[in-house]
Amino acid sequence: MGRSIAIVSGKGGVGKTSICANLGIALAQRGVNVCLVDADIAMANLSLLLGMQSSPITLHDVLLGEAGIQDAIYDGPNGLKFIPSGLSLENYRRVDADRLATVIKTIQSKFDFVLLDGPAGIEKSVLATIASTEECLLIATPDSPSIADVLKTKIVAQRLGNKPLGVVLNMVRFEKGEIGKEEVSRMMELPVYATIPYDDEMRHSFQRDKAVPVMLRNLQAKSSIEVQKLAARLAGLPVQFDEKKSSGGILSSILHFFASLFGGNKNNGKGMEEMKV
Amino acid sequence: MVFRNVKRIMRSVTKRVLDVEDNRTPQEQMKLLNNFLSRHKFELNTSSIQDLVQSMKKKHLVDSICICSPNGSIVISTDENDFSEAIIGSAMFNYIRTELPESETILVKDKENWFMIFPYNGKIYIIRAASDLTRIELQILAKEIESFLKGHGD
Repeated sequence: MGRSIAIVSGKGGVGKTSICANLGIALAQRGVNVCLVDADIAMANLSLLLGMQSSPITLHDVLLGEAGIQDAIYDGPNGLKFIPSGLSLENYRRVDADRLATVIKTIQSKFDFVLLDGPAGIEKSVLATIASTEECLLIATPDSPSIADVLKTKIVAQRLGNKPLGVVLNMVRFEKGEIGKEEVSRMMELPVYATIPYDDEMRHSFQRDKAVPVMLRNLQAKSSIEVQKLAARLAGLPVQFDEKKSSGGILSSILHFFASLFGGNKNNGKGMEEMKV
Repeated sequence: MVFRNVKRIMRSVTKRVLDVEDNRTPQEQMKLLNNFLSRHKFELNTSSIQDLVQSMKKKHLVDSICICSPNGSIVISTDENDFSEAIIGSAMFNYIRTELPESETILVKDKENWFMIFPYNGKIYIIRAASDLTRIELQILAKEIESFLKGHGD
């Protein structure tokens, strides 16, 4: 039986979908048998990011009982499998999110990992996403509104019998007004699984004709590197990329040195090295 | 590319030296969040069913939990005077089940409360709360209580 993990946050816009897509790709690149599910049945953004928004059979059809789950599984990049959600508002109104748990149970034995990209908030579809998985990864940005929301999500997850694995801090700029990873970890009583720096490469994923996740465009981008570390940690695999190669030469090393000198946050400069698996 | 990086460094140096941005970790907000978290800790490690349902009430943010048999006799309740609630709830559920055999949950809204009546493992659960819970939440609440009852010889 594979692991089912919900990627949730409480707050919208913190990068759940990007992390879910890139994490799935990173796992698949390591040969892990992974299936991504766009569990955001109202706002199907993962389907957009993977360019599968016009798939003929979607999770909507499965939850409506109009298609089998096997018919809604598509081939994604690097051998990962993907179950898209539909864009239809009519179907969204008709869908019974309670059925999601049964659907996930059906496919769980076929994969090492089933990752669900959950909606924001703590409404019914979020509850369905959390309740249909055994574990969850909590995504937050290092500011108090995001931490407040992820805190509530953690409480909801525990209430639903789900085990929160840890927090992924995303869009970290290593500025002094940010909430540090030690503080987040202490408050959440959970480990910080990854610290993903703010990266224009990640932000540019949607800024093109066809959206392309950063893991498919630039493996050496700083966000890609941290996602690869996150994937390795999650799957219990050794980190495989060359840290020196990823640093991009002397100029980059000098810039990195200055950045760590003037960033002003005690996390600064450690973000890349601390995630030892 | 080089120019952009140099610009970024210069900006960092300027910010650092002149302290142009008065950013601080929001300690007051952190205190508030810590306080919020401390209010959501529940002790479910108990051998008393009465203590368990009281904790479940807090955990699931509901006002009362009444579990009764299909004939209306109370199994356990968070309120002492729930006899009428158990009898009315079970009678209502039995009636609706005869009319709509596939009904899973009955939701009743009065002026101040929601009543959620549903069967689980041969018992009828009557949950009262200020807002309605989803079927997922109700099932998980019942599952937790049932697993306690099972572990403690019903």
